[in-house]
Amino acid sequence: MDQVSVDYPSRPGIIRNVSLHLPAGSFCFVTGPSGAGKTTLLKLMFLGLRPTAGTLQVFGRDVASLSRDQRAYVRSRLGVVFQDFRLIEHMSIYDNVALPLRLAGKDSQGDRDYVRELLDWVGLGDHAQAKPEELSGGQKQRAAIARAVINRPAVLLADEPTGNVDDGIGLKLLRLFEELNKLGTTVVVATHSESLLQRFEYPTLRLKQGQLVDRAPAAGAVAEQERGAL
Amino acid sequence: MVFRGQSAALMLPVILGLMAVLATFFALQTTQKVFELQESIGLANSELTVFVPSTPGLTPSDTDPAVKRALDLLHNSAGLGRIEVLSREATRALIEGTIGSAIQPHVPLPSILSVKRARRGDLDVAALGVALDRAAPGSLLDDNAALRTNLQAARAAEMAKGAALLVTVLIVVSITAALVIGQSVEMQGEVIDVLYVAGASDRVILSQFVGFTLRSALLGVAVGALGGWTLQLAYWPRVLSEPNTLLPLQAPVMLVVILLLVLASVGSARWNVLRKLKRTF
Repeated sequence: MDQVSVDYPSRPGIIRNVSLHLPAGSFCFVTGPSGAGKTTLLKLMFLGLRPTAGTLQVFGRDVASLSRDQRAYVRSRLGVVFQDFRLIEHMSIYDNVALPLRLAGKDSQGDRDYVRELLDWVGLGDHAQAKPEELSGGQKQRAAIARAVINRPAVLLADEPTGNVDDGIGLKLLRLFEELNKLGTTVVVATHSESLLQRFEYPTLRLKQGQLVDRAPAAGAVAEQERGAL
Repeated sequence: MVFRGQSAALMLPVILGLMAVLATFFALQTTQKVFELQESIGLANSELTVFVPSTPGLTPSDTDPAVKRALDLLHNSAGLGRIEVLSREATRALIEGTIGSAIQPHVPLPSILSVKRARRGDLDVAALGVALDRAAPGSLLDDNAALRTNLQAARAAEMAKGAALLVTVLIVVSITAALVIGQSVEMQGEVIDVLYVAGASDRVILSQFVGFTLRSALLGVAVGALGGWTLQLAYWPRVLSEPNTLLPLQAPVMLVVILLLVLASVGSARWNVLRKLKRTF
């Protein structure tokens, strides 16, 4: 991101002049108080939002220069985990997790086996046919993670993934993200949980009132703040 | 099926189906009346009536020379077809029906000639009237002008009534469909978001949502149409007691209306989803 800003009609300056670069294979946290712009920053990253100003590049390409189909392809290489899970209520956990594969036209026996493997990996192998309403918050979040990584994304973006689960489960979810990161996936986790940040030694981008105001000194992510903001 | 409708969204097509059936039914009834009026206007246009006063002093068995002269003139006039002299009984019945009371037997009746206009050929009605008056003094030629005016006014009123009904229903249905489908897109916003972040192209998201709209619309309209036809049953005895040539057209007309409603719903769904997607990057 280079000098990226986002204004909502009802709320100008929700992101202000943010510049940052996430190297492939890195792991970083985005933190800040409520309303600081964490979710908006992630929305920018998964192309859910158009910047009002500035340049956004994903996988080295300026997103503004891509066609809508090309942007869809870029999104297919990203995995997104929402705080509220966004599981489709009338579909089984298996179908929820398999959805991105089916959208990509993949439904072979090998693909079906892979979905089951992934469900086993997140500990939901026995709940494949359950509906989301039958699962606990932690189980739903694990299903959402499985859906986010089913397409083997290059980047995983998680918005407050531990917000609706207790600390123990939150810790386990972060361990899952670490495993994915070790496999080469770039991971960005937005959280306001200081306790989680203290447990993990990863770079942290700190937002306040839409501006990047701090970065934890760690290898990996490099944030370039608005000139004069720090 | 990625999308599944909420009960509120399913109610829309049911209501649309019901409205479509009832609107079509009453519109066809109106059209039926318009057709009948049109038929009467055509009849009035194609016929002339000639009244020839009776010649005094003739017995019932005598041929009235005035009528004979009038007939000769009519037979030799261009633009006329079949000519029929009404019988005394028919004449009496017609006059009594018009004035609303019985006519005394000694009162002399005029002769009434019913004349068909030829399909082709010009006819100068005014000139014919003058010629008839010369051939049979006191004759009257009626080209049904007053009746035609009344019928045309009645036809215009019926058409306006039918058009107003259809336009009102179409406007209400269109606005309702657009609002409810817009609402449905908002309610399905999270599912659209999931598809979007999963890398689905606009085309895939549109096809999924349009498929959902089509299923809902067809199911709902079918249920609504069934309900509408059930309600119609109460009206059937009255309908069947009158000659009605248009009502059998209800099924094909309904199919066209349903098709239009479904197309409008699909168009509205596409527009709403595209608008939502265009708000993203």
